[in-house]
Amino acid sequence: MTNYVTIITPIKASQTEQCRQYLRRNAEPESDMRCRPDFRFDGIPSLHFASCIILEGTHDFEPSLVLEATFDGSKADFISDLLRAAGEGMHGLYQHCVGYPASGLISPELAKEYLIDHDVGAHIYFSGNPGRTVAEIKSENGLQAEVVDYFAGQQRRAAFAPRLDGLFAQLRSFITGNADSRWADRPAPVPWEVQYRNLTAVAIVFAALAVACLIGAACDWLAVTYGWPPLLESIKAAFAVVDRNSKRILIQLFPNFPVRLPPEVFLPIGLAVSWLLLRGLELVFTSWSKHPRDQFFTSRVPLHVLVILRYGVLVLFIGAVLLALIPNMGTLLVATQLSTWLVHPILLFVLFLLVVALAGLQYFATSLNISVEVNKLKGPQENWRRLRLDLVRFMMVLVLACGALIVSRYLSPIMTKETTNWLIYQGLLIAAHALIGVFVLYGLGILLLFVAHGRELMDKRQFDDPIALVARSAENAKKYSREEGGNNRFQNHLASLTLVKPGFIHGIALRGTLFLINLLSRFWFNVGTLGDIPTILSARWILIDSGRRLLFLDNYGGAWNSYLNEFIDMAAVKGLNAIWTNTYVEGQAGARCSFPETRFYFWIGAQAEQPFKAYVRESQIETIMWYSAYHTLSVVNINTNTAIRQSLSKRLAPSGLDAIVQNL
Amino acid sequence: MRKMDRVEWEDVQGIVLSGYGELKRSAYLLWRFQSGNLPRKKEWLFDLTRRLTPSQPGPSSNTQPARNLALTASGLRHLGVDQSTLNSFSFEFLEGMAPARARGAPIPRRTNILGDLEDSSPEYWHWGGWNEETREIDGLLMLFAEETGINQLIQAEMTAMADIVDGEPIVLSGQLFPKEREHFGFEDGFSQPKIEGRPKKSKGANSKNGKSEIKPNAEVKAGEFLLGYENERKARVTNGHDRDIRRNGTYLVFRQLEQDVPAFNTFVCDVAKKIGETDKWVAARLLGRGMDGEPLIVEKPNGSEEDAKNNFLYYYEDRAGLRCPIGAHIRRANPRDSLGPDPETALHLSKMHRIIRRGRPYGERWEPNGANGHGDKAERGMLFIALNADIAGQFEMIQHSWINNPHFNGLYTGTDPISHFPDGEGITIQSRPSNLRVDRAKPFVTVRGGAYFFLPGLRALRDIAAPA
Repeated sequence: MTNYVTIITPIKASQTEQCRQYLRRNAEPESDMRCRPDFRFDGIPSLHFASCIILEGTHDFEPSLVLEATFDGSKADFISDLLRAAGEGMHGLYQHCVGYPASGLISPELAKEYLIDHDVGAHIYFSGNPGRTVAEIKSENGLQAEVVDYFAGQQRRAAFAPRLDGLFAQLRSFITGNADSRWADRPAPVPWEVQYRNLTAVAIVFAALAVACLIGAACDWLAVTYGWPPLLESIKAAFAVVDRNSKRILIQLFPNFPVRLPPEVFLPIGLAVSWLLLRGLELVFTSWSKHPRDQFFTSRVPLHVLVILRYGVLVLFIGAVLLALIPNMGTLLVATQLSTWLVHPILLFVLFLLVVALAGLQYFATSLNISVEVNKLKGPQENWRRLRLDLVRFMMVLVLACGALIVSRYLSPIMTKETTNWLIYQGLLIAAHALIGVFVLYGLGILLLFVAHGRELMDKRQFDDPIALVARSAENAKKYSREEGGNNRFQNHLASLTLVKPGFIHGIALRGTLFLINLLSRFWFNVGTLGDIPTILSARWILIDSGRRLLFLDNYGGAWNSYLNEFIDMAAVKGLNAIWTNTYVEGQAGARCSFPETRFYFWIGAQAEQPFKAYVRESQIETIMWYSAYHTLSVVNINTNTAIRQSLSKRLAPSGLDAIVQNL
Repeated sequence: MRKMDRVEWEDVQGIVLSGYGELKRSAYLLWRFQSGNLPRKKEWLFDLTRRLTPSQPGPSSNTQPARNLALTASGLRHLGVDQSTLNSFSFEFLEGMAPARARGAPIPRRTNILGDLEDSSPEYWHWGGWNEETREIDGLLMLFAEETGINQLIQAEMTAMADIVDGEPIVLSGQLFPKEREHFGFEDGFSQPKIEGRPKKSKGANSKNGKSEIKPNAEVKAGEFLLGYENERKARVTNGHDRDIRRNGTYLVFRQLEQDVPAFNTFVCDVAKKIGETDKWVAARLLGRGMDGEPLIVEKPNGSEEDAKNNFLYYYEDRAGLRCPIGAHIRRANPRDSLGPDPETALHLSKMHRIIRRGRPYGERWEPNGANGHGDKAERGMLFIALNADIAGQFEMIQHSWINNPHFNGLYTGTDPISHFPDGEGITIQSRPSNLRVDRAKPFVTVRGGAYFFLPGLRALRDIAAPA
């Protein structure tokens, strides 16, 4: 698994400038990533990225040197490798730092201990290609080039190119036949976090539901203690109300309905109708535009409440259907009289009709599902499509329920009616507990957002508007003159240092956010993108100086401007806001400029493009030294190369083959 | 739905809405002001402003000549605009297209972003580059007239500015060839963004305005092209103040791009021979349209003649680039709905990166063996003009992250086939059973000069011209 160090060491008084010059002269690779003799980063086969920045001393903080590295294998091994490949360079560099052992060069163990002691790790670590080693990334890129050449050669030689699968089979034998590329025939190892990504997500959802259940049960217990009726009674009461009303309404609507419906179906029908109403309401609140700038706290919260309610009603509906099954289970098994015999073929025919209906509905559902792939739908159309899809699915559930009602009459009950009833109600009770728990948790979340909003209003008085920073672009330009050219044509480095706003709320909010995003980037965003952003190679967030400053170090592909646009114009803006809304920068003459104002923690903020970009530039620190083991590749390239390699050892469907060939 | 801004078209210079397609000849005067003598400069500006063509009312006839004026940061300074006002302009504009490079210093970031390297380096530019003598440009006067009137127009304007100009102005002449073909032979100017709230077409408008965009609702907010209005990010640049010098103005990017037509033709011919297709097929795959502008994607006619040859999107029709290659010029310059997490978002995002193009070819047409007396040696190319409200977010972003980006939309190698970027790597043409690879040894386009200008509103110009 990819590993990382962030070594932060204090710089001796008044040696900052010397240290900077030393890095420029001896450490920064020359053009085409040619490493200097004192810092042979290319001699470390496990090293992905390395960079050095200097945090200037301020009235509050000592100057310090930051060495960041991303590599494969253990930290100890990497530091040993580093001291081997750049021993003299490192020794010369750390001469500028406080506490570095004078005998560091002759006894590397001491130097190693010093470096490991000063490693602060990261609060969030994200990688665009998790688990891929430098060797794999490089050799898979070579393999891609070979495959492209092979295909190009086939094109030239053959007047009629063979079909795709034939061509691919040829390619496989070419790869396996060649001793230098035979390694690619075996699939690449995939880290377990990536392999069990969906399983982990499901497990987490179940764990969260279990917690919600416990909370719901606790609430129930509390309510009972304070004299409220127990939840089970409330469910039964609610069922009674729905049952009564749906019966009343149905009879009013269809007073002359020819068939006398069995009494147990009214409850499911009532619940089904409530479900549909909730879903319709939900689609009203679903924004017609996917544009993040059209989504606000005020419209999102009711939407979430409706979604939770809808799932609650769905569970109750299933319970109600099961309850309806019980009274008549096995009734037809004992019907042996000739007069009732006719019932069997009729029911069989009805069952057959139900199966046909189910197949038809399945067809509709599929075509509705696919329609979004082949046709452009506008917002309202898309919502109609979803509603139709829901209706179709719902009909399927109803058909199944009817089928179950019929079949159940032939099944002998395995338990007594009482036991079955009890079991179903217990299940419903658990579900109701979960629902209440989810609401309690959600309410807590909203409460926290209001607390955050309170802070936002206070911050507005305490901090200046970052729009003032726009005028400082000429001064800040010096810090990033290296971007987008030379070694940085394809990959760039962004180092940003911000101050954490004072106060308990900001501190705890920032730590909580960092913790959650770190979990997400390890277990969910581990397939090449962070949110929707496909350009981050490796990024880390570190709280330093006991939580008073936030350091962000980022290796990304492409240009700074388009990179930031990806954040502020897409959904990832919420994560960005959640972290940096807790920070500010010190501009000219000690002016404290806040991150662009957020609303309810997640919204607006960085969407204010110009102030946000000026804020990033103000917080940016010059990257003095930067090394990348593969500085011409993009994240998408690397992941595509891996996919090509993995395809060699898989049997692919034609569409899969096409996707692979597409990238050659 | 928010209220739409009403654009003060009578204050906006005409080139924002019109390319003056009926006026086949044009001239671009580039000059440097003499130092001092501010009152005389203001007087000249005041007189000139009355002659400038506004967007509305449009010209009274199709043959009436048109004039539009743009200024660089140093030009504004020469006209007495103070530093604090200048600071309100964007950093790219203040720094200029080719920031000065000290001897031995690394290449400036902006030059890298624009990809002006090797032969296209500002070191060799005829104007606006690193060369001290031809570096500074203060103003750009764009003149449009019919064949018969252009020389007279140039003369008149040169005389008017004679006593404030340092040395002789540079005069570049542009012209529209029949069917607006540029030198490589393609019809040009089909895809222009439609500005929200533009005046409805009157009989005076020319047919050229017609070649435009995708769907009626694909309008782009005025703030993307004019300062002082709401843009696609729901923000506006000025403080809403009426007398803000930036209001109703926009940034104008001007680049002189030389085209090597014989090299392009030879290349197309060689590639065609190699892969067994016709020259036309190859040329269309490089550009993304046929020579007559016919798109490679099947169009969805919506009954509007305005959208002819431009009524198509990529995502549902050609995600994989099998019709229009992903790296083709028009797909890079305007990816429409193909670049983003989903087509709807992608289309929305692409609206934030549009430019209005008002360029024209210069030099005479190339004919084999110099049949018309203008052979391989003669200079020809495109006087590229782009209008946008945010140079860094629009022109520069398109240039760097799309046109010159080998990793565009998941590609591995290759830049825009007709860009100036010196990149010897292969261009990919998506095909089945496998993709075609084409090596372009050397670009066919070379940058010969360029600068960032500001195209002010007429009221702002009058304010600048007012005696201090």
